[in-house]
Amino acid sequence: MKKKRPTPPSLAAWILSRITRGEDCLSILSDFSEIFEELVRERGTLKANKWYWTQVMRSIPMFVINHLYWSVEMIKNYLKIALRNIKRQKGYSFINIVGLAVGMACCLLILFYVLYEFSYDTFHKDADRIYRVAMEFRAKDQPVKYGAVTPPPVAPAILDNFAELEDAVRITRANGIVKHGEKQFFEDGILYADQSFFNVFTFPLIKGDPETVLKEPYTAVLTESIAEKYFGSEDPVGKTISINYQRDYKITGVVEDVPPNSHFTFDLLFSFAPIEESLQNASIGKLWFSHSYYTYIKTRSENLSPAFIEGVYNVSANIIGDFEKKVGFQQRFFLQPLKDIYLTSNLRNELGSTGNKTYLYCFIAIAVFILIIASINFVNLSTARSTGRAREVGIRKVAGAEKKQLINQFLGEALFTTFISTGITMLIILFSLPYFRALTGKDIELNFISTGIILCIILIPLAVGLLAGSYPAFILSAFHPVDTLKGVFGLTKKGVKLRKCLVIFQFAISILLIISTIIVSQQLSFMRNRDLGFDKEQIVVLSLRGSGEARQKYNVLKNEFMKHATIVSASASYTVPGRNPSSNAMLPEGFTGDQWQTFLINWADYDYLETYKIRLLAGRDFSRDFETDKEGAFILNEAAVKSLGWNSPEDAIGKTWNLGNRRKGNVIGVTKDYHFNSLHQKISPLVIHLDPNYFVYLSLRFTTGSVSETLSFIKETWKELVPDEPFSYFFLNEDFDRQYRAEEQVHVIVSLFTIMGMVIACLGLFGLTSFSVEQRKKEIGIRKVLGSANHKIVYLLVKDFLILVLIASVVALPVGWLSMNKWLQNYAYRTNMSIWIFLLSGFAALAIALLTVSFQTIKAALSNPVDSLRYE
Amino acid sequence: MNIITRLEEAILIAIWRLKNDAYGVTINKQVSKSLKKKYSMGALYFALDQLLRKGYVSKSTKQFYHEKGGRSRTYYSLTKNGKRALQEVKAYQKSLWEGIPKIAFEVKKSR
Repeated sequence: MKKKRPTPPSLAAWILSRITRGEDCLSILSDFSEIFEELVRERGTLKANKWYWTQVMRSIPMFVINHLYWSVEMIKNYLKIALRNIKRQKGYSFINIVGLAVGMACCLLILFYVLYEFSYDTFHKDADRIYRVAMEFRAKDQPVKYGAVTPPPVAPAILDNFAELEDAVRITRANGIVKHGEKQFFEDGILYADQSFFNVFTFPLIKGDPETVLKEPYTAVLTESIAEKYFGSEDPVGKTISINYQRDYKITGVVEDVPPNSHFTFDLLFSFAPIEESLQNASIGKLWFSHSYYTYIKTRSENLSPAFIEGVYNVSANIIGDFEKKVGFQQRFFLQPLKDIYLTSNLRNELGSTGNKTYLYCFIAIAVFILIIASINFVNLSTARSTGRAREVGIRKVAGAEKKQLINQFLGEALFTTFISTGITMLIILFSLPYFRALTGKDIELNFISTGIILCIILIPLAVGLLAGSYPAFILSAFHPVDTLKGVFGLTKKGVKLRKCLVIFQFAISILLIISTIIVSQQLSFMRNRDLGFDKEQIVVLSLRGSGEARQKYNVLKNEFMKHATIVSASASYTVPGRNPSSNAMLPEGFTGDQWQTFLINWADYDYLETYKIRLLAGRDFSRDFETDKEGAFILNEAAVKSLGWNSPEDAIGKTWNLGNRRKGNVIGVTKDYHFNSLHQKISPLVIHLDPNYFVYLSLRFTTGSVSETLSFIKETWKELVPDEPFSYFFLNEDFDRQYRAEEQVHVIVSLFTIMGMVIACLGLFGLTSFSVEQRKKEIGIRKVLGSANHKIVYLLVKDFLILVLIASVVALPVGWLSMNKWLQNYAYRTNMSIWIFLLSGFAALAIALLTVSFQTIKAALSNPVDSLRYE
Repeated sequence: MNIITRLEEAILIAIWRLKNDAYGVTINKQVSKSLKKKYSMGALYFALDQLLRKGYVSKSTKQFYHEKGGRSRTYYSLTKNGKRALQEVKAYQKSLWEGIPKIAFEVKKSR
């Protein structure tokens, strides 16, 4: 056996092999070990090892520099080639870059919107530890009701009984005339809150100490803009304001305006003392059943123990259990994490408008769809053009490039392209953000400090670059150098197939988006134009709120208004369609003793039905001719009659009715069902009763004519008759349609991004067509020489693409039908999805695709065959 | 004219001297001998790479199977440009030293 050769230290050798560049690695290692062996022979292993180590260590810097130097050299070359390619094929590059940029811009805008919606209430310092206590309300034989409101003793009760609680705050909503000196306005952003308000929530105070501002009874905190409204540049702290011409409140602080991404908002904050006073002498029953207080708690830890949740659930049962049994109502309480309230809570009496998580997921889906469409363009155009790069790949491979290097090169190129696109994307976003903000009504800011937004901006282009770049990179790097250089190079069947699949996918998504746009807009117009059972047009509603003077004088006002020629009808009421009615316990005929039934109720004056053009099915409207109508007449709607199991509207007339033992009388009329709420909800049973004490609104119906002239007449009359009362009004149709704001927003976003998606898909199709036309240039030339007609050539070229779009429609239609059907289930009253919508969407996509394709194909068909067949 | 560094100059001369036996180990020995300084192998390879890029030397890798213990060696040789560069350096130094007698820089052995 041969004598074993001395081997250099393996770790050092390994380091050396890592830091040297691939091709020279072997010979460098050999050189090193040659000297090493010589040294072993001359001076022994130890010395040799030492030499080897020092040599390796000393060489590291130079090797690293060399490595970097060559890398930079290669990158320079890659960059040059990439730029040359972009320049050489301006059309394709334009489609690639702009398509990607627009796609990413759409996607990012949607994501910004979604992020904004998810950012609600995150600005509170301890948002994870804040919960709202909400209520389940069970009455005998009635479905459980869930409400955001709780009775006022809940907060103190749980604060006393559970050490897990750090603090709790009660809030109640109010409105009224706020007055300071000469200035008085009607404010409806008033909250009464416990002094712990600023301890639970994080609303930064500009002036005042958060610990003490609401401590004293009859103190108030104003928001910055309200402070300016009443006090201008003066310092409001220490001054007073009054509410409803009653007590004065001392201003102790000024708070920054409530951020738009808070689930509730306020303008003025009053101390809870007056509420406390009013509750002082209330009976247990009244105290525990006055449901108009919001309870927020802050716990000591983010994890809630089951015992605590259980305790909160039963807080009322533990204290007034006997009473609950007696009256037959049960209230139970559950906790809602603060950050989830805006998106997931949709209870009765929410403190502010809430969002909809499902829509957000739909938006995210749209964003992803658009990104996919744009990425598919990238993949398709890159692979389609790959033949052009085949020679380059061949040469590189012959010169010794490894597959890995080539993959890196093409991936790098894809990233480079996306990088350029990202620049354009940012420009698009910067320019379009103001419009997008106006469109969505959300105060979305391009906040570069927000990690979410930064992540979006970095990760999305990176993901697109890598995903869209990897397939072409693998295809291109897999070319056989011999084949490509010999010129034997055909289009791979597999690549073409994949491209076709991707186009089908693109158009399927586009058609899906078109379908949803059409259906959303149909539902929207259905809701706007449906016969509501009353006429919402040409009604102006005045508010009678204020000191009460306007309410007392409503008849005088009404008569005065009626003198004007354009005002044809007027009536006062507690609520108007589109705003919530109240509810009350009532005893209809056939029910006895304690069988109270809860009905929605609207207190309305004579002529209410006439003003709103609500149709009667049986009986009559309130009439001045009947003395009993003043206090003992009830009008039901059809739903109420049905819910009571009465045979027919006529049957209901004359039945006795008892309204909470306060008012007793008979049913005098039954109206046809009308939508006093939005079309999301089924029409509930409703009772209309005449009682001027409850009037809040005065509705005036006017005929066509000068609206502004009528309005100024109304305003002048108001100023004349009740000069001290604030004048505020709204148009009923606008107010009613405001309930469909969420749908409107969805409609705007979906239709905008459908168009964008379609445009991007067509850009890709355009690119592919021009590619395929170029490929088949000679074929077209020969066909023409042999006598083919122009339209046949166009047909030949168009056919391929149209088949794809056709397949896409077949795929997309059932998916669209299923998903939109699901969406429509949200509405109690919905438009029907006719087959025509689906056919139309398919045709629209087909037509748009045809238009896109035809430009290139017609040009090709009309071209002179000599040009394409001549050899240069 | 491209001025090459002293190390590069020494390497080029070493390669010329070594003729067909110019590879990492021999070049390093030759250069270290003539410049009287021990160079790390890394520094040498870096300089060789630079010369390669400038086109003064060319290299070819030879794989030995049985002889020399199955090593692989990268042999370097001068290109036309390399030879020209050496001539230029020589001419440049000559012109630099022209007219200066040897005696002018003689250091007196005073100590």
